[in-house]
This record gives sequence, structure tokens and C-alpha cells, in this order.
Amino acid sequence: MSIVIATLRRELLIAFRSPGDMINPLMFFVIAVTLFPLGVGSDKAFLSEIASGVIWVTALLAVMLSMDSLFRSDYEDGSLEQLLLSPQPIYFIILAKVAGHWLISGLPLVILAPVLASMLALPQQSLLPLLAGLMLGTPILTLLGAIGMALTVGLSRSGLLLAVLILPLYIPVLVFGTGLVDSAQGGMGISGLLALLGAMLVLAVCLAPLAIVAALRISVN
Amino acid sequence: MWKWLYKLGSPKWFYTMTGQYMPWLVGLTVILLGVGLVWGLAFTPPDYQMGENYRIAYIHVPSASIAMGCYYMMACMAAAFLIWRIKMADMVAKACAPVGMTFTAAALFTGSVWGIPTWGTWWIWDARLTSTLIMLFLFIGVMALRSAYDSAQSGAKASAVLTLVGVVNVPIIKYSVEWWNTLHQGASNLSLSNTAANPPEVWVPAFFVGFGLLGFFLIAIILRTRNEILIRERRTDWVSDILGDARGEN
Repeated sequence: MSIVIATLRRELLIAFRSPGDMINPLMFFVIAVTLFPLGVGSDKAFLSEIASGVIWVTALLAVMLSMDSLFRSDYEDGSLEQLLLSPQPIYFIILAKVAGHWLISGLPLVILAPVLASMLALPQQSLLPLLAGLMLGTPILTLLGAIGMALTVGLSRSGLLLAVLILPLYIPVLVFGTGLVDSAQGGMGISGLLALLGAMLVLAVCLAPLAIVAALRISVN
Repeated sequence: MWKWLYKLGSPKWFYTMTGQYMPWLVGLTVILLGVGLVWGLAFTPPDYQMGENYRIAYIHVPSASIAMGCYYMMACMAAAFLIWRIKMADMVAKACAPVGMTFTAAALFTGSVWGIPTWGTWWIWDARLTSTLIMLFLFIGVMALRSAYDSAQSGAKASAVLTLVGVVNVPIIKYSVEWWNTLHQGASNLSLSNTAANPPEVWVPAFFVGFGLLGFFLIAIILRTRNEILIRERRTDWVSDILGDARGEN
């Protein structure tokens, strides 16, 4: 257990010492959402209709763009190799690393989402389903993104390749996340979809670290 | 059984074996496709609703099934490669990606062509169509990742991991998009007693075309794998022996 706390502390410490990595995805999230009313027009009825989709898609892209800071610097200075060689259980180290990354990149998105939702005139009763969905969905996005990042960290220019690999895998989360908001707006229950998202999170927590470790071993070689 | 599996893992055995059976496979495929296509496209009665349009289903349905089967085949090969380090499995997996992508694209294209007169639109965000499109993206991603690596060995392993992650996602993608209202029809009830909408004279030729396309798929995979074997084993004696004749004449 101590290794989990130590890894988590290290991740947070590094993040707070170079806040750019933390702030840039958030800024991307805010700016990209701002582009939509400018692009599609500021009609309130229309905006409230697309609000949840816009927030979900931009949050998804923000998570993907933030992935680079997860393994890149560790790969370059060799500490990733040390992590893989360490006698501690690698599964938990990776899980702690990803959890730390979610705390600094995923959680702020969820916290910022209500402000953007009200800017896009999202109906009041849809706010809670949106936040609940993001709360369960962004960790899944981070875990899946970490797989893609682990596969491409050894390549010099991996930005667009990461998008090609990861975005198809993000689709189920997007469908359930926006479906949650839609069924709340339609006055239907959301517990079923919430449970499905939760199940996907459990599945991702269990299986994704295995794929991440396998991918990192290939990349470090 | 185990001995047979062991042999299948040997590139040389695979090469000579497939070389022996290839003429039979090609002949069978030509017969099946020829009979099925001529029968299906020229001699079956037109549908009472769709007229002649429905004939494109003779290509569309088998392409879609083969494409999906190809993804699972690629995933099995990826698992075999990662777990047992069988080189042959990776060669087949490498061959699967472009062939599967082509069949997926063919299924999407024929579906669109069929959709314009029948549904009135060539594309719609329907569950089936969307999940097939995502499968196309998965095939492209696997190929892109493999070619991004300089080292063939790393590229092979990385694309195998991605294939397996994708295979977890294929059912999830399929069911997640089924939550939307869907326009695409389900599978038809094919039996000799079901004569209402799909009489046997309509779907029996479909079986010929289906198995014919399956044969075509196998031929494509085997030919690609054979080329890959020759490239990777080019420094071995047996490949020099085979190619020696061809080279010696020049």
C-alpha cells in the first residue's frame, strides 16, 4: 500500500511543480467549449440541446491531449524503466500513476463542467446526470488513454497516432455519458446507465493496468 | 492435435502446405462464387418491395460477417503471438488487418449503395452502421500503430496489445450503440420452412456467395501470409532453395 501512496505523492508533486501540464488541458477544455457558441450561433434553445454533447466531446479530447504528460517525461529521463524494474507490484504502481493523473487532469474538468454547462444553457435537471457521468466516465477515459500513451510513448511523433488509436475506444463512454443526460432530460431514470458506466469503470480499473504494463514493456524494451 | 498445431507454427510447413492446397481452394472459390453470383444476380426472382435492389445483399451480408470474423481472428492471432510468441500467428495477424479493413469498407460501401434507393439516404447514424464504422477505425489504428514502429518486433507486439484492447471493446461498442434507435434490420430467419419474405430460392444462392467470399478471404490471407513468410525468412536455406530457381534463371 505504501508504494501506491508514494507513487501518488510523486505524481502530484511533479504536477504541482510544473503546473503547465495541469492547466493546459483545462484551458483547452474552456476554449474549445467557447468555440461552439461562436461557431453554431448563440441561440439558447439550440445550445441547451447540444450542451451535454459539446461538454462530453471536449472533455474527452482534453483528457486525450493531457495524456502526454503521463509517461513522456518519465520515459525520457529513464524513471519509467526503473518503475518497471522495481520489485514492487507494477500493477498498483501503474494504477496509482493513472489515478494521480486523473486527479490533476480529469477531476478539474468535472469541477469546471458546471460553469461551462450554465454558459451553454444546459437545463438545471440535467446538470447532476452530466456531472455523475463525467465523474465515472473521465477515469475510464484516462485509463484507456494511458493504454494508447503507453503504446506510443517510444515513438517520436505520437500525437495524431494516439488520437487514431484511442478515439474509437472512447466511443462507448461517450454514448453512455451523453445518453445519461438525454434520458434525464426525457424524464426517464438514470440509474441503469449510471450502473453501466460504473461497471465499465470497474472493468477498466481491473484490466487496463495489465494492458498498460504490457504496452510499457514493449515501449521501453 | 498438438503435433498439428506445432507444425502450423512452422513457417516452412505453412508455406509448403498452403502451396499444395491453394489450387483446390482457388478452384472451390471460383465455383462457389460463380454459381452463387450467377444464380443470385440473374435467376432469383425480384423482391416484391425492393425490386432488384436487394441483390446487393448477396455481397453485403457476407462481407460484413467476414469482416467481423476477421477482427476476432486477428485477436486470436494477437493473443497467440503475445502468449506463446508464435511468429506465424503474428504474420497471419499482420495479413488480417488490411484484408479485414477492405471487407469492412466493402460492407459499408455496398450498404450505402443499397441504402440510397431503399432508405432514401446513404448514411445514417444507426447502431449497425456506426459500430461497423468504428471497426473500420480499429483496423486502421492497428495498421497505423504497426507501421509507426521502426522495429518490426516492437510494432508486432504493440499492435497485438491494441488488437486485444479493441476486442474487449467490440462487444461494448456494439451494444452501446444499440441503445440508439436502430434502422438496420436484424438477421433474417433462414430456414427451408420460412417461405414468407425470404424463400429458399433467394437465400440458398446467398450461401454459395457467402462461402465463396469466405474462400476469397482465406486466399487473400494466405497469399499475404506467404509473402510475409518469404520476406521474414529470406535468409534461411529453404527460402533460398525456393527462390534460387527463380533467381538462377536471370
